Amino acid sequence: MVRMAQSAVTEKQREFQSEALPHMDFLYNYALRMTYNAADAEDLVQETFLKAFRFWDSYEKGTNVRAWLFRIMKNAYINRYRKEKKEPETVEYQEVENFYNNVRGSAAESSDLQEAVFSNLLEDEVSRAIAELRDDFRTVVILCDIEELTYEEVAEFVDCPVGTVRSRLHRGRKLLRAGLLEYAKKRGYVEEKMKD
Amino acid sequence: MECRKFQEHITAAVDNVLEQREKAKLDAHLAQCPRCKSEFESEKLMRNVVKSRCQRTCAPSHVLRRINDQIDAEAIEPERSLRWKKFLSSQYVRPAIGFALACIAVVILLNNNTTINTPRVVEASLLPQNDIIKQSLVNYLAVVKGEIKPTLASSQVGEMKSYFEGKTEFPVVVPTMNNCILLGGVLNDFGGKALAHVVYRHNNSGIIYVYETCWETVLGGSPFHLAQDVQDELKQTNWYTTTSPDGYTLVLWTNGKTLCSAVSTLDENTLKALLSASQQKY
Repeated sequence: MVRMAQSAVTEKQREFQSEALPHMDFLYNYALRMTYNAADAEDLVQETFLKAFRFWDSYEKGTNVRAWLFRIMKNAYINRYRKEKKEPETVEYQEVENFYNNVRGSAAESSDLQEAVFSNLLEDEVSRAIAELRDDFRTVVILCDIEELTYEEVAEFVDCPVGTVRSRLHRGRKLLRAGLLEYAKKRGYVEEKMKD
Repeated sequence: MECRKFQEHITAAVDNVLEQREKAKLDAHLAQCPRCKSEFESEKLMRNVVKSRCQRTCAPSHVLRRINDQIDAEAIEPERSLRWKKFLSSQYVRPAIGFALACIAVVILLNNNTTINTPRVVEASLLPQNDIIKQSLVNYLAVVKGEIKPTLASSQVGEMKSYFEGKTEFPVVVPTMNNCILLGGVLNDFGGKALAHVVYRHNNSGIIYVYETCWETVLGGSPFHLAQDVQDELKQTNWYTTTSPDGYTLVLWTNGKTLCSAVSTLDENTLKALLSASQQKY
């Protein structure tokens, strides 16, 4: 009996190692961009894989294992870092209205100027600006623009409609632009250009 | 505003996934709208900046080692958390089944000031789509976010009961609870079986959402799913409580032919007390 149990366990381990572990880098990268802290990211990844191993029997073979792992990690992230927020984030219509008007107001610059300003930013500044985005915007920017998932894939990972992915991406990119502009101003690049 | 319509088409176009016809319309608009054109260029630039600047890294090697160590340890001596194992025994991951969401909408301001203290936590993300607990949580969140619209908005229990009369094969429970105002209700179905939904506001400070269906149908196993140990406990004691990792409390109870599931941010004891007090009136 013991020998049978032993080999069943090893089989589970082998399976898990070959199917789940390859996604570790993907999860680590997401965790890093969400926590913006290497130690926290490592803890989150370790916790995720331990949970995933414990619930491995409930993963349906052949379905998207990366999405399954991602959801476990996202929950772990919420539990650890967003526990104080028990209510879901509600969208205030006024906020959307104002936001739309404000950001559109600044879109009058020429595209050459824009390109110059933003292309000179360093990776560190861009990463910081992304880290400053609100969670749900940050998630779609990371998954679409960095990890290059399709809208449909992101929808599956995040468990929301494709339309929501698209609108979050739209807003997320706008917010990112505002954040990056701040960094560009800090470096004096914006002022400099305007003197020309 | 014309431009409003094109906002998300701009995003799709930036990602090269906008369908031909829509793209043609967008191009035509961009040709004569400098603001939208600028916005398109802007968004495209953001995408490129992120793509070019943000590199992926590999997890440090000790992470893999630690994970493997954890797994080895786990394999030798499995987690002894009875609470987890008990609840998560046999249920998860059947193929997801889509279902039509109930339609209750109310505009709510949630004032959350209670702490949740509970022995059981359910990993909702791992539940199948036709699971009663999962459906209860999903609907609750949709109600709170204002994503669903009312069919009957009423604060009269009698009116609500009449609305449901004869439309379901189970008696619809519309409890009268202390410090709660009835907000509205709706009827729909899932897999051909009727579902009733009732929404309350507690003390201007929180939504209590109640999901109801036929208990016999649930015991039959289709189209709804409910874990065996949950069913067992309900059969023995008529009650079952748990919480979600986000801190929402769920209280399930049976009342004759009806299975009810209430979701709220109230703590377990308060919610259960409210519900059981209201039951005595039946």
